[in-house]
Amino acid sequence: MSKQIKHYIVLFVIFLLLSLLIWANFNSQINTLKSESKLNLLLLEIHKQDYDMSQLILKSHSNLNQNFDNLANAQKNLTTQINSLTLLLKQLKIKSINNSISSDNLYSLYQKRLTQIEKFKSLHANINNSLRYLPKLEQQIRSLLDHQTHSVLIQTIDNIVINALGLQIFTEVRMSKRTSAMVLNLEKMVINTKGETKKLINSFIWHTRKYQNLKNDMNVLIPQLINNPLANELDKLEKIIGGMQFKKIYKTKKMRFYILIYAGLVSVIVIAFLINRRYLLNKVMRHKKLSERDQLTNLNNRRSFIFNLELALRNLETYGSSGALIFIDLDGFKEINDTLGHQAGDEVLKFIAKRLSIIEKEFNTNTLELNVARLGGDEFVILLEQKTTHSELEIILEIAQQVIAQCAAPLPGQLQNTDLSASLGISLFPQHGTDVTLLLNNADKAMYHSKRKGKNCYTFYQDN
Amino acid sequence: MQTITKTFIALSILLFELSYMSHANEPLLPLELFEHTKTKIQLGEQLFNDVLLSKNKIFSCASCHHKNTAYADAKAFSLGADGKILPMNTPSLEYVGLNYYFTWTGKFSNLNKHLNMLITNPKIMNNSWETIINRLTDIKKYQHLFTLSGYQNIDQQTISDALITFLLSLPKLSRFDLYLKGDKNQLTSNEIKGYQLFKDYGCSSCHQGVNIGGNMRQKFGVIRPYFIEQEVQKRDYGYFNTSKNEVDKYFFRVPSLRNVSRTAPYFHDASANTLQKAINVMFKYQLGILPNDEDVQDIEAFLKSLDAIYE
Repeated sequence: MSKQIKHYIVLFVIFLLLSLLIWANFNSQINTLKSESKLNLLLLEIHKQDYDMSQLILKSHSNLNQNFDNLANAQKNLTTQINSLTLLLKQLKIKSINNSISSDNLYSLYQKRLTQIEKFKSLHANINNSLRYLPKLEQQIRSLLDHQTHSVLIQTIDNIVINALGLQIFTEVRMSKRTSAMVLNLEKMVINTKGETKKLINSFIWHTRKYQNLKNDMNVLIPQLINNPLANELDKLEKIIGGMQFKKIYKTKKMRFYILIYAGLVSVIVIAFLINRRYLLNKVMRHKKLSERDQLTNLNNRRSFIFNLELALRNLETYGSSGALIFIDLDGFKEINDTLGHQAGDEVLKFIAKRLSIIEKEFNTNTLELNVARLGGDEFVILLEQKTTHSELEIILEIAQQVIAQCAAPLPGQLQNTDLSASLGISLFPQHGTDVTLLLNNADKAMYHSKRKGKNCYTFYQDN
Repeated sequence: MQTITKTFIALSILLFELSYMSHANEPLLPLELFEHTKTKIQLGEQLFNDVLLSKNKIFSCASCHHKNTAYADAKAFSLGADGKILPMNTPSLEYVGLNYYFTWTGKFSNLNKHLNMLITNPKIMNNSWETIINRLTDIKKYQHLFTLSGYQNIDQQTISDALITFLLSLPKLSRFDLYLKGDKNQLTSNEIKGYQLFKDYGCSSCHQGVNIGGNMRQKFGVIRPYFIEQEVQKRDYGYFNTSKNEVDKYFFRVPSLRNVSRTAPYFHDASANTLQKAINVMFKYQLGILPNDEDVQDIEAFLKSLDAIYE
């Protein structure tokens, strides 16, 4: 079965599994039960209502809202919501979740908050009325007093009223201290007045003190209203209920089943991916190997030989190695091709390559590395690498002799009566050069010398 | 027909809400009316006038909340179910739906619970819901009316709903509402002056909102104490009787000033017989000011303009 069809089958299976996954997701009912989502919704509403109430309180406090209708409406809504919440909690049997949180605690906090809001409303109205009353008192006092004799008195009273009426967002503490100081002064000065005036001024002092107390009460109340413990309690409740619901979902059988499906699917996809990767890598390796080989003899080809040579030359210094190039040219190959045909020639090359491979395997050791390559036509080359700084000539001689022997040995079968031999040219590195082209040329010259000597021999390159 | 009514209700509620929002900057707000189903209102009115709601079948809601006197009693105190007079003045029901608390102390914030209290209180109706339900189910006319109004059966919830719908349909526009909505010819110059004084003197810091009051509690005797220590009765303690909190002593729900000229005598102890006297009491004890007569007259004229316009 072709690989393409296999691939299509794999894709189809994965597609099937994905559809199964999507179907499973729709059917899983991972949504929380209806009643519990109702609880979540209610908690959210209460939270929002509580927050809106804090906003409205601030607006009334800063006189942006001139009436309490919106605030009272919010109070009413909160009451209904808290009542439904306590009812719902009772239905779901969530009585006391923690030691600190229970629906009773929530209810008492809510009642406390409502009481505080009521206090805020009456306090706010009282403060506003005090603010209206003090200037009126001041006017009455002014009309009764003689301006020249009691100028300081009148001025003190004026200042107290101005302080009270002034906008005091950042300077509240300072203003109230000043007012208290002025009131003390006023108490001293009132001794000098009599009758109606004295009564009025004493009443003024009393009302100023009352106004200051009201203001203090308000300043204590506002932070309590804004950082209200009801909202914190609701937060805690929300978190706990959320945790409870998650545990409940996780424990259901269906959930575990679907987790299993998910995990299985994911593992299938991962395995498929890994198999595909391995297959691709193999393909690339094979392709790479193919491009390095000579098709006929299965030896390294010219390209990979040059590559290996360059590598060897680069390694000369780093590994302290040395080596040699043994050029092999087959003598009498042309005649075989001409008389017996190209197919016979191919056979000859294959035989020679086999014998050279045997030599390669035989002499390959830890310290000596051989590499046989076919340069093209009837030319072969052996690349030698030794882990010694100087080429050991003995082993090179032995190899060369073996090569000559093997190339001259009779061929089997049809090729019995052929006359074949090899001419070898050896160049050493680093002695005879560290450049690729130079070494090749030198080996070539040495081989040419072997041919002139009468063939079937080897020659080392010499500089003359 | 039903869809039209429903959409109209929805739209009017929406408009009600919208106009509500835009008036937050004013101390006093104009009244917005909206329709209820007519049959429910008729049923509610019938229940309101029916003596079956009391145990002894002698008096009904209307016995003390007369229609001609703005659904209040013209007397200082009404007679209770046990033959003794009730400790507090009977309040007017005409604008009760716009309040946020009910009863003189603001004890209830829910009309249903308040109605429940009224029915079961031995001094008022002295009855139980089962008796009422049995009595009503025996009468075919009531069964017919209940089904017409859209109720499935006769029980505490549906009876309360019908009564409350009737109460909520009672508010009517006044000349002041029309003035606030833009018709500047509705008030005379004295009344306009009275409105300005009402705001300037600080009356509107408590009597505010759409019901000119009814959305907060305040102490009776802010600047000067109103109650003399020796003569104070239990009813004068106000919200303290419910919350048992010292700070709530003498706190009452701020009453609505709509239709106030028709609901004499005034205050929970009916201690002011005329509107002028009530205004003077408020000035003296809540604002601490002794006003001149001209201002009091102008304010009285303004308060008269809050009366409902009956067609």
